[in-house]
Amino acid sequence: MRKTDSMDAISFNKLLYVICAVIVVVTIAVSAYFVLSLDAKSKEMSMNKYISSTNNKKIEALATLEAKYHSMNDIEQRLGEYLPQGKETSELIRGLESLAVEQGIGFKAYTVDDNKTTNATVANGDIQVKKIDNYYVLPIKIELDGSFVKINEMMKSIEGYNRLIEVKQVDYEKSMDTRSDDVTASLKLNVYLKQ
Amino acid sequence: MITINLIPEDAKDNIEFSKKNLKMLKYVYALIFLAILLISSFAVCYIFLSRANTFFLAQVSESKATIEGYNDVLNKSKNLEERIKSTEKIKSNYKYWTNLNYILRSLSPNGIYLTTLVFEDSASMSKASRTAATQEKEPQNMTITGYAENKKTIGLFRDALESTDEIVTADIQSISETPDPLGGTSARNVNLFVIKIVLEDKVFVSKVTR
Repeated sequence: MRKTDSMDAISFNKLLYVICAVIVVVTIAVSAYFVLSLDAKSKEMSMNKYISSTNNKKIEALATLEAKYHSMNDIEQRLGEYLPQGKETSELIRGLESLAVEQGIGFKAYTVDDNKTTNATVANGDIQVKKIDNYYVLPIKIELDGSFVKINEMMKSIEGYNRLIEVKQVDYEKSMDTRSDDVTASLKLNVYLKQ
Repeated sequence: MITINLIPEDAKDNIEFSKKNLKMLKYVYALIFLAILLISSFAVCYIFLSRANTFFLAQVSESKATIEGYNDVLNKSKNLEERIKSTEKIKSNYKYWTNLNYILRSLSPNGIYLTTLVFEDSASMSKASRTAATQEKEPQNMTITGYAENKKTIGLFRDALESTDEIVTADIQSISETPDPLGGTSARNVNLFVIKIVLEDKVFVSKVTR
């Protein structure tokens, strides 16, 4: 019996050592897990904090942009007329005719010029419109009847017109009437679009 | 004096280990306490970080939704910017003819009339020269075609062209006799000429602020 009691104390002592070892090992293992988890969590949190802060800056910039955009409504509207998305042919013809009437010259003809240029491609299936760089061009030809001075005034009006039109070529044909100063001018024009 | 310990050896060991065990138990409790403290502090940190992360995640998703709300304005602004850039690009190469017309009109001597004014199109220029023309505003080449009563007038016209500041050079490309297109059946011959000129870019700058 005494022998057994003595053995129990020694066994209990050993058990205590084992318990200590287990506690140490478990603590180290759990700590290691937490250290790794905390590191990952901390990185994730830092990343989210950074994204959140970047997004807040973006929102501030976008709010400024929105305010600026709304303040540019007038410019956008004018630009929409100046560089329209569509050809708006009937409006264009009406505009050119009214310019000719203002100058007191005859607006004899309007034709779409189908001369293909080497660096142009047909735009969105519209065979009349050609794409050059990042904009589109409707090449047209108009014939005007009048004095050289008035035709020059007409060209000036086209340059200041509320739609972006550029004169590319001018052909003059003198009137058969030798007493008259009138000429027939064929203007090749590029009407610009933004499609 | 002789001390005689009558306690048996086993009992002695038992007493000794019991004492050790008591001491050891205190260490075990201390160890458990420290382990719990350590693990608890890790757990607290983990919970704190998780909550902070959840907070920032919520902020990220909220800000993403706000940013998406601005997509419409962003697209419209990009479109407007593109349109402005396109207009600026077109305008950078835009030619205002009015000045040129007045110059040619004032320089044309009697007995000469012009039929065609045409630029050497950028499409026919090499890519390198086109780039240079857009960036550095190089002089522009132009071909003038017309009729003249005699060859001397053509020479005078060429000299007059070259004497102006706006025209860099003027060269007669060709002269050929041809029936007067305005002369009808009794047509006399006139001289069809082609003159190539190189214009200063300033000719095409508008006098009007746009």
